[in-house]
Amino acid sequence: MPILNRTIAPDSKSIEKINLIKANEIDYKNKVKLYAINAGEQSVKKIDFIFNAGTWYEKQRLVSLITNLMLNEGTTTKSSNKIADLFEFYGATFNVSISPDTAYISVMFLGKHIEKILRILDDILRNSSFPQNELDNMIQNKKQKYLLDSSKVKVLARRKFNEALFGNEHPYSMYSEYSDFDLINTDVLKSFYSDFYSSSNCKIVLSGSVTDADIKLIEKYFGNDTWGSNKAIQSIKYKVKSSEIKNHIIEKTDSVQSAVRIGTTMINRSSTDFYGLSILNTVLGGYFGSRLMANIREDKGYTYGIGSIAVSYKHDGYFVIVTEVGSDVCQKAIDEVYIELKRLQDERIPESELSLVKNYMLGEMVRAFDGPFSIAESYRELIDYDLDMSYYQDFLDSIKNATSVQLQEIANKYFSRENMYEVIAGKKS
Amino acid sequence: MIKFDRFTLKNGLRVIVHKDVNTPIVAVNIIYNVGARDENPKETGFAHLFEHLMFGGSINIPTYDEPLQQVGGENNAFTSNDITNYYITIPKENIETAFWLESDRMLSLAFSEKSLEVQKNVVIEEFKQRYLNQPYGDIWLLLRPMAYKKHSYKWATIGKSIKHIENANMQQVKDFFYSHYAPNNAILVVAGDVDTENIKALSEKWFGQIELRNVKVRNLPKEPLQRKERIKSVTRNVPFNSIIKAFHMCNRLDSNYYVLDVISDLLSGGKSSRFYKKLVKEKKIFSEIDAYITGNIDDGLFVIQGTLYEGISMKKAEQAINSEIEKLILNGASEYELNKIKNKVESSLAFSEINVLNKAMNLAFFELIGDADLFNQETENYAKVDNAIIKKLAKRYLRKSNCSTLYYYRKNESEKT
Repeated sequence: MPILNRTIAPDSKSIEKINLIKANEIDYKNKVKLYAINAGEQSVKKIDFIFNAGTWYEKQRLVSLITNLMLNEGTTTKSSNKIADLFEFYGATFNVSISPDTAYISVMFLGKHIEKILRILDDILRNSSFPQNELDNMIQNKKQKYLLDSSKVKVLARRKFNEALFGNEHPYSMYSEYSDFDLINTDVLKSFYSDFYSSSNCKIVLSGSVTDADIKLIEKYFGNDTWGSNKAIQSIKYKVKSSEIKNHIIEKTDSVQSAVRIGTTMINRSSTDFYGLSILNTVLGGYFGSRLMANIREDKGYTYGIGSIAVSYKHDGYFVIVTEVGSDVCQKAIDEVYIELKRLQDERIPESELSLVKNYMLGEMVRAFDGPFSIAESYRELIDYDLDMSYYQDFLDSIKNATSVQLQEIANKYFSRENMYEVIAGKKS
Repeated sequence: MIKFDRFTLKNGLRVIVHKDVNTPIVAVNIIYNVGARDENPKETGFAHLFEHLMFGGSINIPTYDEPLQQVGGENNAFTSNDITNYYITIPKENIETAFWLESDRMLSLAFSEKSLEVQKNVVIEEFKQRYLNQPYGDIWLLLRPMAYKKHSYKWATIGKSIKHIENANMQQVKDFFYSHYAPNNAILVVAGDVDTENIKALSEKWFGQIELRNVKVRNLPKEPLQRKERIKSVTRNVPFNSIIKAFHMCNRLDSNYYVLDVISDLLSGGKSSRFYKKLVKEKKIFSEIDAYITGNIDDGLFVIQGTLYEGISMKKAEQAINSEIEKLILNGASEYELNKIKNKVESSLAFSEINVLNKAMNLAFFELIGDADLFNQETENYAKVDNAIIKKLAKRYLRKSNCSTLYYYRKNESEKT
């Protein structure tokens, strides 16, 4: 056998094409829209319901969250326990969640049980009854969870950061107080449910090995008559009221680490700069080999992990660097964060690094379209922003074509230190 | 049913290939038969620290991550008390890069002093972040030495204390590498749109020349039978009281393992479980309560862990748990519950087959404990669980004298309440 030269990497191919599988889109007469993603051979299917029913639409704090959590806590015909018994009997996983804009219901199940699952979901969407005793349980439980979260530095930092960026009246701050839980009653939940979990506000993603029969079943249960109030959803406008103070410290003297957030409000997906920002974000803190990780973890050992993210909501966005660092090195770590931000503004990203990041991002795209459930996840993002599949094609192209000159411009446009908010929860060194 | 091919290289490296043509991604998983249980009691946390060092450059390649990211790959690793597992997902065209990187760090590390110093700090920060700076974060640091007196499960994977990590030196790193990292102590699994012949050739090319090594023979003491209940109380700065009960159970290959897993599911698997319905919703004793098995390869633990609602005494909480256990011993499971569990096993198995990485990890783990095909026998093993054995084993294992109980009080709470 020939001696291997292990110092040289084997030949590799750059990713030229990604199979961006398109969903089959069906508009039903009751305005429900279905995205059917037929891929893979698994016996498993997943259904996601998507409603414009996040914090953006609530008139009172926590209403969107609690409504979402209470959906499966009882209907006019089934108790909360009965619903849990049914889902779990069929081995299905039922999950609900909200983002500031959107509310989701997701169920993963064995394909052979599809009709049984749809029947329960149908009941939940039309007849959820918000029983008082279940609400009392939920409130008691969430209040305790709120206090538990309040003992974690990372939660304290996140709350303060969101508040500083958007102001506590703004839905994107996701702000709530302990006492807000006691103001929730079944009437406000029922009214929110009727207005926002309605057929005209509903999109469905069905993924897995989807058959025509499945699509017919969806139509049978969700694509015929209307449900909910179907009132036109008023477009509400909120004003961002960022804090005048840039630096915030929440003292927690017994902590051995401090949670740090540094960032600012930012453009969202609707801006043409967002692609470039995403690449820049990857360079800075979006993958294991990022500059923040390389410097603050892998060179200095100040933290177990540090990363950055560009969050895009429907009406706005924000950018944040997140870490938990030893209290003794907290200030040093923060100084390094600013050095890395400045470096992106002052210097062009070297070609070798940019090529690495591009290839890494293309690999991530391949992973994002690997299998029906990843594709469904990628679709959910698009649906939230009323974008179509050309978004990912454009993203792909812009990754390939990005230049260091263009990225430096974007860094100078958005990463100025004077825009940054800084929140520390714990002990400042 | 997961089909696979299996072959062994001359140096003892076992290779498993699973073909899945439905994905553009290939998973490459290497499991090393070494975990925290193999550590010297005076040098705990080492297996995990070592996992970090595996990313600090190998003998011929200065950095591990960069070349992988350069070809669109992604990777990570984890260490447990039993094993250390490294995994990559990579576009199938570039699979050889994974072989190159993994084989070089199996051949030898760069053993860089800088990497050791930095990773010691990183792991110390991980220790703080996950175990010291989280409410209830130290539960396992407290519970392990209560439950285990002889077996090396008595310390956590992260280590007994930060001191042990601070003390690690380069000689120990080298010794550890040569006594545990070896082709004859590892299993490589490749899953994706690949051909066995091609994987054979790549395995020979990249791993074939690594020498077989003298792997340290594992000789762990069996944990002696616990004869008396063990109790410990601690007070911490947390918002609510908590109770944790750990019962000794069997090892991973024992057929009783499946029974105890089913029992844990009956008690706390989802909103239809007994604990959730009775103790969270109806009686409002716990805000959350969980029953689970540690899943260890050697004799593991069956754990019940609950956070008490405000105003509930520890005594009442413990009685509530005990009464659910008694009911189980007396009546076993209902017909509905047994069928539910069977269905759940079927669907969890189907869910676990969705992505190639998951399949690769499972095949590697089951091959390590005996035979990759055990993965395919899981459903059958669960299906054998019936009511008689549930009652019998609940009685045998979930008894006071087999239990370590940790009362975790919040500050300012009298321990007598």
